[in-house]
Amino acid sequence: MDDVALVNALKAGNTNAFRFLVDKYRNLVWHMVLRMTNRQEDAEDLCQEVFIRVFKQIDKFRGDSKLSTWIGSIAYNACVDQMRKSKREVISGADPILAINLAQSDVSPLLNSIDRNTMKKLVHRILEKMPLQYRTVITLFHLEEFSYREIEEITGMPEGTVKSYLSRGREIIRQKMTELVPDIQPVLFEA
Amino acid sequence: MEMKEFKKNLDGIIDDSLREPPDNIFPDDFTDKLVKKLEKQLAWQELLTEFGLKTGLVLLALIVMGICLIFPAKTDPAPLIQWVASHRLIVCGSIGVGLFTFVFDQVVLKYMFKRSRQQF
Repeated sequence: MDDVALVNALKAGNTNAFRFLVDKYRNLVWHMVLRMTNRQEDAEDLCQEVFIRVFKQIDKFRGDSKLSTWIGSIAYNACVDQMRKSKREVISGADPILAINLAQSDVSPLLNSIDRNTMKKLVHRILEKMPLQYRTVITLFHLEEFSYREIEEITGMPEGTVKSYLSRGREIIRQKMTELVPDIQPVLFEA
Repeated sequence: MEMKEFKKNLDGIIDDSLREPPDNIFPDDFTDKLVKKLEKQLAWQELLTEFGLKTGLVLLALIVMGICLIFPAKTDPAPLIQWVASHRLIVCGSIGVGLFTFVFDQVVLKYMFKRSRQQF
């Protein structure tokens, strides 16, 4: 079923179409919710809320953007609302480097044996600790493969800001990796 | 040259890990639970809309009836208002019982029947 047919079926109130929609877009919503909130325990409820909002607001979808982008924007707003409600981190202008405050206990088990897999885990830990806007943009671009324009539609951030968060985010990860793993050189030159 | 290679390799690892989804496992029964939740919400919504419409119709009929009875005959509504005011407990009680029966019959019972039909 293509997105046009899916949207029409949803507008007609078809719950089988809703099931299809959830199966098709659940990874997108799940990844966004997990990365944005960093909380597995709230993720399922929030995902449910996102899909219910999608169903209730489907009449507002005019087809100007891709369905995935529109669902992404609903997921983004739901996460921001949830974080405001629970008075947790919202988008801030704090220095991202200072915001990444990794406790020694977070990383020391990883640093016992350094290989490429450990390095990847370390990147995930750093990402978890990054400010919300960086985590969101990085996830949408790298994991969900949205374009700059689509990320702008989802988050409402201007394209230039999106690009800047991406390049600054990468720079932060690089910097933190070299800080945390002093013997990073041999791992990088592994075959 | 080595610095360039270092940066390239580090970027390779960063790219690979950023493309990897989070480790957290998606619940297997998520779709079923969600569809059930939506169906429940839709059922409530439908029943409440129906109830609102029916109540509106009944009220409209009563208002029209009242206007038809009072205005053409030029009856003074004051005695009626006085009677209602003096018997307000009985009037409010009767409206309350009527409303409760109506809600129970039109919303709660219908919802329970719908649910039991879905379960079996």
